[in-house]
Amino acid sequence: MSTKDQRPALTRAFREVTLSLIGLFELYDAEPELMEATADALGRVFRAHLNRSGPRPNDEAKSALHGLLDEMDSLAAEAA
Amino acid sequence: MGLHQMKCALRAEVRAERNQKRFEEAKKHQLELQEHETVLSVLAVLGDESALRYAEKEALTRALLREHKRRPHPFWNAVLVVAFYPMLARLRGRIYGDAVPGDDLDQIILAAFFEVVRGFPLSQRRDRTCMYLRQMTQRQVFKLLRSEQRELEQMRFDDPEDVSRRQNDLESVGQGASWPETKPERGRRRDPKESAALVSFLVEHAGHILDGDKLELVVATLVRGELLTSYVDRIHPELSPSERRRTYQRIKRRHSRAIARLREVLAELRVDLGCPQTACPRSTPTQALTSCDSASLPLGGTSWARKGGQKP
Repeated sequence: MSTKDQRPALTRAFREVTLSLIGLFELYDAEPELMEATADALGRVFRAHLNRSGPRPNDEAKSALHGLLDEMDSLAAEAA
Repeated sequence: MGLHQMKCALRAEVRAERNQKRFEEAKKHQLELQEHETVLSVLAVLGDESALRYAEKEALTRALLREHKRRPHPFWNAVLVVAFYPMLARLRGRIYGDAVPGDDLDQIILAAFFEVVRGFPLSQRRDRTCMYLRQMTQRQVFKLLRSEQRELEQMRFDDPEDVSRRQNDLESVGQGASWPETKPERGRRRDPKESAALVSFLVEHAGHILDGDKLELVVATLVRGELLTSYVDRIHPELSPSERRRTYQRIKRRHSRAIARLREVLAELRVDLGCPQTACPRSTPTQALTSCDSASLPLGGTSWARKGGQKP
């Protein structure tokens, strides 16, 4: 669990990790199932640390990891 | 190497430790890259087609192009190929035709993309960089393909069937394959008696394989020494230039087939000059026929004569 001051830095770190994983998975043509499972695991850790509820459905995202990225970006925008 | 294999081959280049240092160095010059710890997250943004990250994608593309111009290195080409792989694959999927084999086509697409990346006018194109990259690559690819197509059309001028048949002829002749293909002598006008003897020789020995049209064609080119183009002009004066070209090609093929058959038939009559009993005198129609052969019947140390060396 993070404090309010730590959240922006933590969100940025999670965002960078998510982006790196997307880049890596695209580079290696990873199975969508693997991307989805990774997004699920990473999303749980992210929400636990930022004390957030479950993900909002995002049908427009290219993949589950992209959906998680959108979630992080909206959180960063709210904080700003 | 195809596009996908190329992408796979570039994985190691993108992730190489030495290139991580290059990326760190580039971050000092390109502000847009500073938000990213590794090039992997840059690839993720570049691969995202949603409107949410359009501005970030545009800025990163321009940063990569600028850095590639500032310090050109294959690493930046590798990053851009991986990032724009979906666009390149879509372009590849749109191209049909037999002008270029599949792998060559992939290479053409990559070469076109690298050329566009190298010469991209960043100062003139200040926005919609990804769109211009796509359009310019597309134009470059089609330009290269048109050029390949033109070259191919020139190469196809000689009918592959004729080439293959000539090869078969040479192989079947065996020893004759080593005979030089010399240009026929021109300028000597054959006297009518000699021409008549040649025609009767052809009718006697090859009449069964030369029907009326073929005989006329062979006599025109071999006996009278007429060029095929003149023959077509004379026989079909009413044709338009395009029709004449097609007719010329058709008659040329028919002529080649007739000559090939003629060689097979006359091959039985070939004798060695070294054997005086079977050698044919210089003035026989067969000797004269080979010496004026516009379709390059073999010439050399062996002459053509009737069986037994008799005059026709």
